[in-house]
Amino acid sequence: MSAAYEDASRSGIGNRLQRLLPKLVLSPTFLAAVFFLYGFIVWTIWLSLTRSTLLPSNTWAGLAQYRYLFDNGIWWTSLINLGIFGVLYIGLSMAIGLFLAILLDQRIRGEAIFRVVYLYPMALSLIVTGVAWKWMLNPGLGVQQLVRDLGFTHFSFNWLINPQMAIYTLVIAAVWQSSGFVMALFLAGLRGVDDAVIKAAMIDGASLPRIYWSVVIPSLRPTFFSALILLTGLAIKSFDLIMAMTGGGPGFATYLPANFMYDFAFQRGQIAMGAASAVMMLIAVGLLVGPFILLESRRKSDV
Amino acid sequence: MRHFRIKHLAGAVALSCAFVAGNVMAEPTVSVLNWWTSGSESKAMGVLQEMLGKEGIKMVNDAVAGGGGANARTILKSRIVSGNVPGAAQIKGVSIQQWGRTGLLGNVNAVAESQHWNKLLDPVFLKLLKYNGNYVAVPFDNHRVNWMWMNPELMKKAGVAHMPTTWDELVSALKKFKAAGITPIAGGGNTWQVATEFGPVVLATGGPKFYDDAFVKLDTKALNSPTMIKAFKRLRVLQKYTDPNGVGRSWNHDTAMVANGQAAMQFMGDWAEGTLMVMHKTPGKDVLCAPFPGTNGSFIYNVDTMVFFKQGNAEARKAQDAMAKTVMSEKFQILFNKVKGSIPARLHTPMSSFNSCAQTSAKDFAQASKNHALVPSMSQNMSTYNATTGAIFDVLGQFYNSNMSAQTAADQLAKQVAVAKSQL
Repeated sequence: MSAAYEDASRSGIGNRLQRLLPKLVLSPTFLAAVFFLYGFIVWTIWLSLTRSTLLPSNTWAGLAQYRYLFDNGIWWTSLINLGIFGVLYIGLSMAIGLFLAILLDQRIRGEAIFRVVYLYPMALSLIVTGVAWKWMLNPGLGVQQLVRDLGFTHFSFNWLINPQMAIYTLVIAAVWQSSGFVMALFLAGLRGVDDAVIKAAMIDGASLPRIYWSVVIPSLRPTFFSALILLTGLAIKSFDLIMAMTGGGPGFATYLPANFMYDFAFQRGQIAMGAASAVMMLIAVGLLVGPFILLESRRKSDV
Repeated sequence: MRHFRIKHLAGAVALSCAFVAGNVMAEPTVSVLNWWTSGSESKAMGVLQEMLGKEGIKMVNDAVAGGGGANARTILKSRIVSGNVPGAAQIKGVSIQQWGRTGLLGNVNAVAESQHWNKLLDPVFLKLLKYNGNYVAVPFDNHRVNWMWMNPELMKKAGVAHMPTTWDELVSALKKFKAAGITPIAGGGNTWQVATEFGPVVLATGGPKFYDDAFVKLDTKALNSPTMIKAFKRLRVLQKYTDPNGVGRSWNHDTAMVANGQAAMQFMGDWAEGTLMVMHKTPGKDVLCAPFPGTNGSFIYNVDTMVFFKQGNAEARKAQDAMAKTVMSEKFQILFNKVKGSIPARLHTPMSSFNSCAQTSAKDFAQASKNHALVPSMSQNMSTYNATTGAIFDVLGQFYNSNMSAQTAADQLAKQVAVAKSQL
């Protein structure tokens, strides 16, 4: 009697343990994520509502820091720059990435080599490539000087030192870095398209561009979505490329919100204002990416 | 996998326990948070480490690279917030007072008294090192910011007979260099470099009293005055003669351009000497030095200091005292400053082993001190809080990289500084 009882209870504990074990194993990472991610988000929001300067303080300031932020000319410059940089960077990376992917999709010989060549920039740190691009785009050292040395003495390509154009030079380097990665995404998408559909279109007499335009590309919708989300995130948090290439200059012509945040929170000892700008960036990501995620998840649940 | 993770965790816990225990039991230790990571700088910190080691004091060199100290300051703040307070940290200028108000600073009064710091240091520095009458910091060096560096061979080539001593002479030299097909000025690639040029320009245009009103007292009237407008006009002249490709180029590259004959001159503090020495050039011979034209007899100083933080146990305080004492010793001040290109902060230190530029610097410092012509560097964060310095930099950056008028720049300067002050 007692032995049987013990058996039953042991197996009960065993069952419970088995059910609890995954949760137990996951709980440290879960707690860490809650604390280090969401905890610090909350702390940042709190800091943005205080008068923190050199060190975090808890003196309430209401929305004053946000008012300062939106009175600040550099913040507006950063936002406009982000608009220019973001649209061009995402658009060009997607267009070039898709184009490369379609070319590679033609089952050419040595595809693996091309794939590695195009993907390789993503493996390099932006700090490293940024410095290389800085030299290449510097009028006195790089492309301009090279072409002039070849005999075209009036050739001019001085975007990097022109406050109006410097932001575009950042786009060049950023697109160079990301388009190979976008290509890899699209190539995977393209390979997922059912051959039967393409063959059917071919039998109907459609040309190759027509097949891609009307059949293949529309079916890449999820890939477009992932690429867009990834690139949007990369654009908003762009920081290292700017530090390496222009340091935010000339003047503050190439500041992006992330540079603004770093500068005010850590260089200038205005932690609260830096936090306010960080919160604005978070809201921007939420506003841009949120609707996409909602839309996509609804589509999936509809299906 | 599961096993691995648990073992990992246990290991980490054990390690951190050992770390805490180690901290309590070891010999007197002082952790020094700084951003001196370049070859010569870390060598100089090595000298300090060695000298302290001989006295049985362990110095941990917590050097954090990059960002002109921003990274180190960030780490300092996070260490303080998490309760891991360093023994000393590189903080300078008026920020020392700002940190004093946090109540976190300790003092080295006993050492200062026994070594008679009040006689070893200029009154201007004493004021800087004290908070509420306590010595909270120790000075490592004394940099002069209002220097002009020039390549003598290019001077010969362009027919510039001697180092310009007035603004008009400077302009005529600039014209001669340009006419000879030589890039007159290297610099201006970053806003702080522009600010480093602008400080001496303001000093030359308005004199020490005006500089003090503008960049120390931050007087709105001085910031938006005819004198300031004139200074901006002069900065515009310098910009016109500067190599336009300097964007993102660092100051030591500019120094190298002057040394190699690619540009005629640079306006930069005496830390340029460090770069020249790395290139095996002799400051004062291969590259000439002179005070920025019109600032002869005045001295814009930039003093690197280490601030001491309150420590719980007596051993740690002992280590701080030993560090302060060693840093102020004649031997260390000579060794350190010869490497760094600066002059000793300690007065009456024998200068015979220094190069001629450093000797001039020491002589001019004594002279300027007598004449009340010592002013703190705006561009190196000596005279104003970082937020205000940032506001000044913003206006300078905008002015330098656009065709903004000098009048608008002075207007903006007064406005932006007032805004930055109100937000603190």
